[in-house]
Amino acid sequence: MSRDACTVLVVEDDPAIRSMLVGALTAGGYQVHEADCAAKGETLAGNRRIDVFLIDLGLPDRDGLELIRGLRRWTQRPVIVLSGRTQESEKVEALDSGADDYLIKPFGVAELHARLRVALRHAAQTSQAGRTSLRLGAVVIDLSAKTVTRDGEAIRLTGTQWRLLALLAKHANRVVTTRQLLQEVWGPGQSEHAHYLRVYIHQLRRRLEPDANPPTRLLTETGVGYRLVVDD
Amino acid sequence: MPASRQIIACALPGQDPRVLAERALDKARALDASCTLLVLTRAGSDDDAATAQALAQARAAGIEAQQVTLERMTAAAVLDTLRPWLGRGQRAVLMLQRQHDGFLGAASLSSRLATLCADELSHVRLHVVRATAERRHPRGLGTYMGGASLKAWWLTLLTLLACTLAGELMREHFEPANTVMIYMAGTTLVGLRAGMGRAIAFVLGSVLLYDLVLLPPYWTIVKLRPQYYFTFGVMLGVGCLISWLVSNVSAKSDELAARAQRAQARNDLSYDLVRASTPQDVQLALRSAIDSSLDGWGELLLPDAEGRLRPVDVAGLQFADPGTAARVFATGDHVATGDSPIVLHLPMQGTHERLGVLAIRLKAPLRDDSGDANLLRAFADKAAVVLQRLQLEAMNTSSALEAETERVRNTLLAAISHDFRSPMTTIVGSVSSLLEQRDVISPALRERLLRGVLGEARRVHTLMNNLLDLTRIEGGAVPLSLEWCPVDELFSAALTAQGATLAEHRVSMACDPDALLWCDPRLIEQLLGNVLENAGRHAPAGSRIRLGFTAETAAARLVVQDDGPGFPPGREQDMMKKFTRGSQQSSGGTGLGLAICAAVAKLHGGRLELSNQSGAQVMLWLPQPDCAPITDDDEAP
Repeated sequence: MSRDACTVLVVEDDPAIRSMLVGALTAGGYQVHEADCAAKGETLAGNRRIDVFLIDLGLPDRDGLELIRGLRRWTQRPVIVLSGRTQESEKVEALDSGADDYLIKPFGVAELHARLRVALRHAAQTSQAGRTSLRLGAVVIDLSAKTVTRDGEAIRLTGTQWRLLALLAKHANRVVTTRQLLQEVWGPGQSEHAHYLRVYIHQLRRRLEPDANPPTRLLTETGVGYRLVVDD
Repeated sequence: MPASRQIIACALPGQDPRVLAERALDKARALDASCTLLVLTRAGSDDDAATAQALAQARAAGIEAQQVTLERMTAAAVLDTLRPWLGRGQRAVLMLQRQHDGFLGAASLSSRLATLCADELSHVRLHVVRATAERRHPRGLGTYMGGASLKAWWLTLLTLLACTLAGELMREHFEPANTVMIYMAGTTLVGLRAGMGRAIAFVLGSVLLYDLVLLPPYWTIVKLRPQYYFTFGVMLGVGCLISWLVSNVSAKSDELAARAQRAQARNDLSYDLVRASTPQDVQLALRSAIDSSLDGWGELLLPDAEGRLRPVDVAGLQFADPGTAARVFATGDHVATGDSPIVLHLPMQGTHERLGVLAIRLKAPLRDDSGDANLLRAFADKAAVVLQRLQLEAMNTSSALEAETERVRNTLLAAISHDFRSPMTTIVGSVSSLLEQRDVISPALRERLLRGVLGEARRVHTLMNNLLDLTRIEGGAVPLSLEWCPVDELFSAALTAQGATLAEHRVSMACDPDALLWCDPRLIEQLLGNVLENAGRHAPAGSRIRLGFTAETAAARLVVQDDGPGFPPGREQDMMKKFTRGSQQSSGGTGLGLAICAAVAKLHGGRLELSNQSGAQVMLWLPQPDCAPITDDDEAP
């Protein structure tokens, strides 16, 4: 998928931010549609081919969350949420209700482009039935063989560690919320593990990148969740 | 008012303890007090059923009840027996049931005991209960007549028979006219003890018996000589006079007792009101006063912010009528409704406005002559004064609070406008220069101006975030989300966030790689970030910054120490206040960083301590749960 063909729908009510986004995205080679409210955004999403959505959480006519849930009923195209500092819980909720990633205002253009790239790449992979082998520098994760190796040498993981890693790898480069991790690794109603999640991640991190301080591969997104950064 | 008030109800010999027990229980409920019932019995007397029943009933109602046997039933002996109980509560109330004074005005045990108690135990409050039969009966002809008591009739009949018997014995030796004097003595006794009705009956009976038994011919009715009519007329007069005098004296003594009780209630009310600090206290004091003086119950209604009357009791109104209360509150006239029980609504008048309505329910109607209405008005006035005082106190507190809020707001606004103005000046200046002088600006200058704009914009953003965080943390809008966090991760996350500030410093971490901290990682990372940012800004390039962690029993200690200039000596703790900067020159700081840290520490139930060691040292002390975290995951891969 060439970048020229990529279409971004920007749903943002603030005209200054919208114009900044449109400028930055057009300069980045994207084709941009813009909407100042959820209703208009929904209409555009319905009758244009959109590759990625950039949706502000505070919209005048409707909750951004509602718009995301509505979109998720019929499209799996990536959604990136734009959120302010005061919308932490909404941000997590947006991720849980199907958004792929988030950007905290204010953000730099480099960050914006990086998130868009990740989202588009991931969308392309999903449509190609996904990769089974991921590379994190010297570490290789084989999802089908359920093995992790560094420089060809096997890294031993416990069952929980493997389930955590597999889930993060499945959503490689994207944030996985705490709730998602708890639900999929331990199953519903296992909230007591929430208190130890950081500890499990810490153990996993020590096996994957023992010398990296700060970590560069298994990142903690404080207040949101975790992100596994893999090579292209 | 503390609920340590204790009621000791003491039933004296010859009294039915059930009456007192019932009243004591009512009073205990009214005053929210604990209650003990003591039943005094003479040594050697038979156990009577009423005592046993009263004790059982009292115990069933949940009050302490005991039977106490005494050898000698004197006031001093009784008081000595009561002393241990009365000494127990700080605010003891001794309840006694009133006994009639003895023959020819001899003081009864209850009144002697009351006097002695008032003299010797000044902390004890006395509450003398009327006997049920005489409770607030309107005084009328019935009282003069002595009521319908069977005992009085028996007394009359026995006296009549005794007089006749005595006359029969004297008949041999005296003139018949003289034996009439026996009946005269009898009339005096009956008039004294049994009331006017019985005295008249006695005289009529004595005429009949005298004629039949003492006047010859015996056992026949003969026509009496006129001198006897005169004698019996005088007897009738004497009987009436004596019974009227007795009844008058007893009315006077009742009146005096009631007046004393009212004075006592008024004093007690003043005493209670002095210590009242809430409307609930005022209501409790009023209830106590109304109960002990007029055997009633009170309810207080006070206006809320919108001026609607609300009951002081959380449970709501018991008998007061909201409509009537509102009318009384609006007009200021008191309203009485019903008749036994009678419900009164009295306005509570403050100096400028009405403060509320006092509703009172009395079992018996008010008597016009007894001053009860005045007493109740006095209660309402006394309570109104206190309510006014409470209102003024509340106003003072809230105005002091408002002034403080105003001060903080002004400081905040001044600081914000100052702190926002300088970066804004840079941004506006740089951008306008880039737009208007684009032809003369070299690419290097252009780059520098743009970087400056970005930096200053970020600074404004940081300041805004700090303000927002502080407001939210202090306002309780940040819920703590606690979890076990690897300490080295917390440190490295904070270090990464402050990477640019600390690029020139030598940072070292001293902590066990497995160390865990029970905390909200988001807030603690922010706290560490703020402390590190300060260290980076104040300690010169190349200086050392040490991060340390030690676990203690049920607590953990995080220390960040630099070897920079440290805090201004003597002002270490001030640094945690909002908009306090170490030095005015140091730019870039918002004066909020450590205030946020202190708020975060407090939210965790911990504390932040600032001190100067080799440089600035910030110590965070956090309480930790006792249980050790489970970290092992032994499941096979």
